[in-house]
Amino acid sequence: MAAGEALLRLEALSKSFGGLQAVSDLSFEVRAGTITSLIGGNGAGKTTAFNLITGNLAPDAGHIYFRGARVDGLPPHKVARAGIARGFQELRLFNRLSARDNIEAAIPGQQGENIVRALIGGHALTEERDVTQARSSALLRDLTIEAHAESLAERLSYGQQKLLSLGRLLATEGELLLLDEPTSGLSPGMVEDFCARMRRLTDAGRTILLIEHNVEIVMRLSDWIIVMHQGGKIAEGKPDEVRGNVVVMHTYLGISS
Amino acid sequence: MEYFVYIGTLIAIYATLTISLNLLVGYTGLISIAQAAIYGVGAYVTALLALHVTNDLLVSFALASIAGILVSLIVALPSLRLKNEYFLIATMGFQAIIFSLFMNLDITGGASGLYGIPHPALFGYTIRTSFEMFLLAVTLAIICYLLALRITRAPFGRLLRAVREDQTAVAALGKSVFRIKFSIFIFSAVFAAAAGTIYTYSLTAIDPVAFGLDESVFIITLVIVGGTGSLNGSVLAAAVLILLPEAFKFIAIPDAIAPQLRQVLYGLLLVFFTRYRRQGLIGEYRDVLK
Amino acid sequence: MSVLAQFAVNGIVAGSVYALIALGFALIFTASRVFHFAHGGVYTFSAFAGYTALVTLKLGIVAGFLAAIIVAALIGLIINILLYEPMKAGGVSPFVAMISSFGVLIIITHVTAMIWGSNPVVLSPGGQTTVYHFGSIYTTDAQLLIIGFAAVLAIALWIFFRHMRLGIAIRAMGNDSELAEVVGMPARRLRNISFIVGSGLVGISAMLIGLNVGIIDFNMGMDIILMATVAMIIGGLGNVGAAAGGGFVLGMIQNIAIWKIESKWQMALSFAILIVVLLFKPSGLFGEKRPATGL
Repeated sequence: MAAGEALLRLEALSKSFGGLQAVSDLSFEVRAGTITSLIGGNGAGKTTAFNLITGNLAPDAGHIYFRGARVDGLPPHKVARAGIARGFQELRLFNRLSARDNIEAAIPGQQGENIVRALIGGHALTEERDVTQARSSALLRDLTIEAHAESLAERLSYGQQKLLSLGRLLATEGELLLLDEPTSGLSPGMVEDFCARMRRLTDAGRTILLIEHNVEIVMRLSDWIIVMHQGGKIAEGKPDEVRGNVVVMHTYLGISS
Repeated sequence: MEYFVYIGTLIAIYATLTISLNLLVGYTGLISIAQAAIYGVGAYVTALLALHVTNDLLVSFALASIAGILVSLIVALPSLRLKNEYFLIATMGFQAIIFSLFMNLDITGGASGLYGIPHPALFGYTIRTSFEMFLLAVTLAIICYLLALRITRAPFGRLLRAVREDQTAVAALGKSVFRIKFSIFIFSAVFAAAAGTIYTYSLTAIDPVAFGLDESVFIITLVIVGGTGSLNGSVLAAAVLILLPEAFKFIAIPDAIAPQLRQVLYGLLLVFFTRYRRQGLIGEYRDVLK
Repeated sequence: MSVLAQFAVNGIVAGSVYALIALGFALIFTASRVFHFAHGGVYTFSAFAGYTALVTLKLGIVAGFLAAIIVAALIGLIINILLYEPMKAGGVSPFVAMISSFGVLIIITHVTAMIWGSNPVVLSPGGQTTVYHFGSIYTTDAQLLIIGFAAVLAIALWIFFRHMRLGIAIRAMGNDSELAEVVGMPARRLRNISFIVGSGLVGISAMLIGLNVGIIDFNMGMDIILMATVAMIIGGLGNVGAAAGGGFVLGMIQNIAIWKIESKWQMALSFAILIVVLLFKPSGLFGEKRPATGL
């Protein structure tokens, strides 16, 4: 998809839990090749929006289009297969699998993941294994954690775990990356590293939808910002435009940062 | 000699059952206590075939496995939606229902079961001696072990363990959790049912008690004692736990309480391993059960 | 019609029996979040303890009940102190404790058989059973005692959990034991109390049921704890009153179903109901909302 076109489009999305309206009449677009940020205070509905996009929740109303095709109503693994890779704030790594296995579990289209093919075995699977390993090694090297490739994920430091979780997303080859607080809890040096990585990713043709609390990062990194409040969108625009918006200052920048 | 052959056959049958359950419990994190029911379905289908239709071993294996798969799917389809405790209790419910069918249907012979089952035939050759049955049981166990080893080392095995760790994350990576669980349920059922075929032909008589809830708990005890996620552990546990009570025969334990003492021993082992050594004898990690 | 009425009365008796077991089981679950299957073993063992006092030693009915209550409470407490508390302290989830509990159930069941033998024994108070007739419906004194006791107990526990400080504390602890510790409730002691009370209750129930049936055997705890599990789940988890209600509903369904279905299918029917409830109403018929599914 060419840069600038709408890769993801939400149309009048609503979701409530019991009496609580978590997301209401939410519409926005994410253009290909951009970094788009969702901002808003706690409970503004950002993570619910993520869960709706990924199919972990079903919307009460509204539609979601990815590359022009509807993805609302699809189960999470089909949404992911369509090209939407989702990271979790709480990482959700496979703790007692090695770092390498975490990455390799994410690589799509492996024949050996089918039980019948795994039982038959044979040369094709051996070759596939070599390709998979080369791919995971390259990713681990790029993430600077290749020295820990065979360590269990739970043994890595928090920063390394964050890198690994990003690596797992990249391994899916998803076109759109949903990142939930990717820099929280990181040292200033690592935050810089993450920002540079995100920029490199969009330069390489990926698209990022970001939930981020750190206003400074959002302003510096985003091409487009969507401000949410009480489940709805109250403003959107380029960083400068949003910064100048009084409502935004009040509901988000003023209160929750 | 006959006695040792019999014990050896039992060990091979239980090794097969334990491996087949370990794939669910230890690798995939599905704590099912319906394995004895699937095992029983294999045993009863084999017995009914042998009594009424054919004693051909390969046909027995094939139809027992198909029946095992079907019943396993009936258990799996609703249960797979449920979390930990609820999954366990749902499988326990199916175990009780299937046991009740063995116990109360006319065709299964009720509480007295089925007996007088003819010897099996393999390519026209009738397998008569218990030693040949022993060889057959060991062969099945070895095939089960090797195939389990193969799938657990393949990318499929990585997905099993990933599901055990965090199934939401697996789905977010574009892999169908349902398909993974479904595949392993079927694989597991094939070998549990095949173990039932061997059991029927070895004993030539079966009754429901061998396939009740106690039996399912026993198989899970074997998995835990051996080590969740360890195929070698499963084999070791089957050998140790079948042999251990046999030792009672050589010390002065009265016959009247020997079977009770055996159950107490199994109960103690289950408690001991869940309390003090959750990685089992040679398991992978101590907190697979979490 | 009168046949159906008799089935209904039988259903009330059976329902009360299940409610009695489910009450203690649910009390313990509420406090510790453990499916305490060993409760079935405590039930069996305490019935035999009562048998020894009442029949073997001829100490009288009161002594029989006391023996059952004390032995049950002690075993329950010991299981909690030696097994569940250390597991909890070690960060092991109640789920593993549940598997462990199966082991304890097996141990107690077969130790009972080693002590008292594997044949059923007659548990009788010595005197005649009084049979009451209401038209064509009959019932016995032991049955009336079971119904009355179950009703009183269910109401008492309901009041206890809704309106008394200790009861509210136990419920709060079940929901969040760390929270309870933080606000200064002695969680460990509350759990111990729950095990003592819950197990003591099963001692009484074991005697009542044993006297009603007239015989007891070492294996009887297995089936009863399965039925209590079904009762607790169809009633609603984490709620003692709901569990009693579930037991009652289960007993009624089982006995009214006899009208149409042979009694040998009772067990299968009960578990079929369990599975239907788990799938379609996991919070139970009378319970708080609590998701059982997750994918």
